[in-house]
Amino acid sequence: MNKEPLIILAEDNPADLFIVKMALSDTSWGSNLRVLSDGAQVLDFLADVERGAEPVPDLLLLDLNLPKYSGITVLEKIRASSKCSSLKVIVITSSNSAADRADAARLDAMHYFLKPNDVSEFLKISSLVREALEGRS
Amino acid sequence: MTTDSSQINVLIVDDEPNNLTVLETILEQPGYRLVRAASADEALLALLADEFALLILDISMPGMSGLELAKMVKNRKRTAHVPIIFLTAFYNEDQHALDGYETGAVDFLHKPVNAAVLRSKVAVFADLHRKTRQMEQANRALREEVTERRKVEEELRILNERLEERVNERTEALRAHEIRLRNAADAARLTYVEIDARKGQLLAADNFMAVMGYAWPEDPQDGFAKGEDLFLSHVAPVDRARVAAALRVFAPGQPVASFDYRIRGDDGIERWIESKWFVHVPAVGRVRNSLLTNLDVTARKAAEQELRRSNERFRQLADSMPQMVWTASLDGSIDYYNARWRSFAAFDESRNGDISKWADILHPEDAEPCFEHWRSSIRSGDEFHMEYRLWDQRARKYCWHLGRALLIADEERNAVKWIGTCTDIDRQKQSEEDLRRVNSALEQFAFAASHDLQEPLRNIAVFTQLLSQRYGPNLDEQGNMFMRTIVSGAQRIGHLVTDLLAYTSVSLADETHADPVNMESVLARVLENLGSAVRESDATVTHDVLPVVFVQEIHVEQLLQNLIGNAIKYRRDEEAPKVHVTVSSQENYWHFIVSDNGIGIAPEFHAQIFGVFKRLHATSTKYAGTGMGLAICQKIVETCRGKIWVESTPGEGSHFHFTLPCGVSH
Repeated sequence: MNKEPLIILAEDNPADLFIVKMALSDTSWGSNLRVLSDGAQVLDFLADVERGAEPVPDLLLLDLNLPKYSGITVLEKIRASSKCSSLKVIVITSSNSAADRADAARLDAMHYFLKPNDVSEFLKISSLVREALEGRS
Repeated sequence: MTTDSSQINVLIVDDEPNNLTVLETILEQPGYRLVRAASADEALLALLADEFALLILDISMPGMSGLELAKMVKNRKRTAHVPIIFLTAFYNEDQHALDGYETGAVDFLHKPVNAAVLRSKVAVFADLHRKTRQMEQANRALREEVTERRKVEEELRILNERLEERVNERTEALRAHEIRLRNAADAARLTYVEIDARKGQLLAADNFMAVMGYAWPEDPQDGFAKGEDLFLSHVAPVDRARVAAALRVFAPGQPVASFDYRIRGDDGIERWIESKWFVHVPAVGRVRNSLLTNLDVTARKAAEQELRRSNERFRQLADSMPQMVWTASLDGSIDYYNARWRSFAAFDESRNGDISKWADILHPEDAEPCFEHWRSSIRSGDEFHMEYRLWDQRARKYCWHLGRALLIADEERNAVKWIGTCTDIDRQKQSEEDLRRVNSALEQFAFAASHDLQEPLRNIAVFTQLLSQRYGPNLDEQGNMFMRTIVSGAQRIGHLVTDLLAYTSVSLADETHADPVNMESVLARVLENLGSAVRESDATVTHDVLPVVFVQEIHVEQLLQNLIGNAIKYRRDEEAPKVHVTVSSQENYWHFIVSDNGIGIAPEFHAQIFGVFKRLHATSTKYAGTGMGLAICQKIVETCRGKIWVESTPGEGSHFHFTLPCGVSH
C-alpha cells in the first residue's frame, strides 16, 4: 500500500502557512498534510498518537513561536514520549537566536530553517522536506 | 761562747795560778764574768774572742811581759779603749810604773792586793764600762733611727713625685674632658648660669651669648643684680609673664623646674629655649646654689609645630570631607573618626578601639563578612575594599556604603597606620540597579519588538514577490517598479531588524560562561558565508594562525563576518580587495587587525562609525548598509572587556583593531 507520508505542520501564521503549503504542493508529498495552529493542538495530537488514536507522523514541520506552548516545549514533550521520541522534525522559524538554535540542536531537530524574506529562498523548504522523507526507511 | 750582755767581762792575767785564784776569789760576784789567762798569749786569744771591760795584768810574766801585752792591746784599735790595771810585786818598781802609764795603763796595784781597793777600782771600771756600753747602745739606736727616718723621707719623696704625676695626668684628663663637655654643650646649644645666692654672684658659661643671643654681664655681682631684668627683657613679650612666674617658683621643695619660652637675641633672631632649674637645697637652711641650664630647642619646636600643623591640616581636611574617614593602628584598633563619622554614627573617641560598635550599624547580613574581611586585611596588610549597608539614622534605612582602607607607610616603607574611608554609594547603587533594570527591559523590548517585526515584514516581502511573480505581467512597468520598491524596503527593514536583534542579544551573561572557540574554524565558516561576495569582487583573504578564544561562537562569527564583509564591501573600483587578519599575543589579551586596501575612512569619522545606525554612505549607493555592523562588533568586543578602534587613510585602506582576552573569565 503506497501510503502518503503524514506531515504535520505546526504553524499559526497564515501567510507562512500559505508559503509552506505552496512549497510542498510542488512536490509529490503534499497531499497528506495536517495543520495544527498552536502548541496545545500539537500536544493533543501527540496524546492521541500515544494512545493509538492517531498514526505516528513521518515528519513534523515545527514553528517555534507557537501560541499557548512554544515550539521548544512541544519538542521536549515529543522527545520524552514513547512513540514519537525519534520523530523527524524540521524547525521553521524567524528566530535567529543562539539559544533557540542550541535548543533545537539539543532536541535533535534535523534542520533549523530560518524563514527568509525572499520567496524563492523560502520555497527551498521543499528540498529539505524531500531530503527528510527520502531518507525514511 | 755565749755571754750575757749585761755581764761585765774582766780578764785576769797572771802566770801564777794561785794569784789568779786569789783574784777570782776577791772579785767573785754575780755582775762579773772573770776570764782567766795564764800567759800573754792566752790573754790575746781571750781578747780576740770577747769584749772586756777591764784587763787586770801581772806586769812580770815569763815570755811576753805584761807591758808588752799592754802595748799590743793599746795598739789594736778594737782593744785600745780597754782599761788596764797592772799588778806589781814591788813598790819600787817605778820604772815599771812609768812604762805602765806609757802603755796606757790606768792604775797600778801592788801585791798583795788589797781586796777592798781592787773591788772598788774594778767596780769603777765596771760602772764606766756599763755606762759606755749604754751610751754606745743609745748611739746605735739613734743612728738606726736616723737611718729609718731617711728611708721614710725617701719613700715620702717618691710618693710625692708619683702623686704629682698622677695629679698632672688627672688634670690633663679633666681638661680634655672639660673641652669635650664644652664642645658637646656648644653643639647641643646648651648653656648655663650658676647662681650663688649667699655670695650674691651669678656666673654665666662662656657660650651664653652663642646660645641666648645676648651678652651676660661679666661681673658676677652685676649679673646677680641685673641678670633677671636683662633676661626678661629678651624674653618674647608673649611669654614674659609666664617666664617671670616660673622664676618665682624657684624655691626650696622645688628642686627642678622646667619651662620653655621664646627669646629674642640682640642679633634679632628669635629662638626657642628650654630652661631647667637645678636648685641645691641643703638639709638645713636656705637655698644656697642653683644652676639654670638653657637649651636651644628651636629645631625641635619647629618640628613639633610642623607636626601639629600637619595633624591639624589632616583633621581639617578629614572633617571637611563628605566621606567618613577613620584611622586605625596596625592591630586594627581605631584611633580616629572624622566629624562626618561622629555625626553619622555618634561614634566618639571614648569608644576608640572598639569595633563592636560597628556591629550596631552594619546590616546583619554584612556584619560578619565585613569583620572577616577586615581581620584578613589586618593579617595580610592588603587593601580593604568592600561594599556594605550601614544604618543611616537620618534616612531611617540601611544605605549602601563603599568601605576602603589602605595601609600607610612611613619614609622607610614601614607600615604605620590604616587609613580608611567610607563613602555613601546608596544613590549610585540605586542608579546602577535602575539602569541595569532599564537596560534589561530595553533589551527585552528591542528583542521582542524586532522578533515580532520579522513576521509581518517577511509577509510583506514574500507576498509582494509572489504578487510580482504571478501578476507582474499584468501590470505596467510603473506598477512593477512599485512592487520592487516595496520588496526592497521590506527587505531593508528585515536586515535592520536582524542586526538590531543581533546587537541586543549580545549580553554579558552569555560571555561570562563562553566555551572555547577555535577562530580558525569560525573564519572558515565566515569565508563560506561570504563566498559570493568574495567571488564577485575577486577578493583575497589571508590570515595569521588564529587562536582559541573564550567568546560565544556566534559573536566571533558576527565579528569576523562584519569586519571582513566590510573590507570586501568598501573596496576601490580599480583594485581587487586584499584582506589580511593579523593576530599578536599580548600580556593577557589577543590583538587582532583586519586590514584592507579599500576606500578608507576619513579621520573625522573614525569615532562615530561604531555608533548604532551610523552610516557614511547613502542607501542608494553600492555601499549601502544598516549602520549596525560595527556597532554590533563594538558591543561584542566591549562586552568581552576588549577594545575596538580603526586606523585608516582615505584611498589607502583601513586597519580595524580589536582585542579579546586570553583567559576564560572576563
